[in-house]
Amino acid sequence: MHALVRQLNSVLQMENQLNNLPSEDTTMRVQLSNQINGTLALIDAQATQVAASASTRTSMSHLIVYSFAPIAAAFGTIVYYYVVSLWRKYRIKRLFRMKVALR
Amino acid sequence: MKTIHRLLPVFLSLLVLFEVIAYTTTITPPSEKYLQLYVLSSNGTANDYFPNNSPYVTVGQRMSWEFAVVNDMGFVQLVAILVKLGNQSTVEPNDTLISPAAAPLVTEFEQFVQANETWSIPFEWQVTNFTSAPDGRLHMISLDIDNMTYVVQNPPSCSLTSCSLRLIFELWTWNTDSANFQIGWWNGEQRRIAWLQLWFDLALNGGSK
Repeated sequence: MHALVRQLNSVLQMENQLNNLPSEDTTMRVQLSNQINGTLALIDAQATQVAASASTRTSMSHLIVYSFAPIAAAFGTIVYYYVVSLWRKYRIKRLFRMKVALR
Repeated sequence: MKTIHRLLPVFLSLLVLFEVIAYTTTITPPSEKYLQLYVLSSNGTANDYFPNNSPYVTVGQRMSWEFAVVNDMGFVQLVAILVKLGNQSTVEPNDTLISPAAAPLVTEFEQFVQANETWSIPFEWQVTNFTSAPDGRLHMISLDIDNMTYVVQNPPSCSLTSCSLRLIFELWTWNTDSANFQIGWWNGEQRRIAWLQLWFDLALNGGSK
């Protein structure tokens, strides 16, 4: 992105140079115009690439984050299952420890 | 089988919960988007803009300032700083009406500014010449900014006793929809503007009448 912005600013500088050139200096004007067009074409191609890679990167990171949800849910379910089982075992254990006392 | 049936609602509830958490973490919260504009003197402070701290400017007296734009828009922004010359009666930029100053344009600076970056521009200027009528009306004022000469024809008038002028700096941004520069910027549905002004008194005995 830094390189793209640098190139865009160089185009602005070249445009300023072009505007300040005397109208009779046609050779320099044509040369600068060609340079501007070339740089803009390069920026256009690079911007498309940057946009595509940024889009892929964002999609991938979203996919990773969303795919963690079923894994976390499965893990949570297993934890829930074992906690419930342990609780039941504890309840049964406590039930068998009960003593019947006469009053 | 019975256990699976019993655990299925637990799994589905947790799945919904975690997907909601994932969704809230991936969406970017709407934050305020803004640009900052400031002008500093040669020693990097917001004072001592003029030599000897006197706003009286004579022909050939050089001022060395630096203005800067901070981009907090979250994306690359094409920014333009318009430098205008005004006097006491000049209509200033209006924050409510989102309108620029009604003053002649001296020059402008354009730059693409990256997100979270500061664009600093050295601004060295001096009044190189001016012509005025006996009634004090300025015919022409010539300013040298960063070694480029800018001539303002029919600049804002001022009186013979005191010629208070001001340099107005306006921040404009490129609007991709209208394919043109606009004053200020859009923050969601709201339009904001940023501008600055620095007053100076032109010493009329230093120019030509």
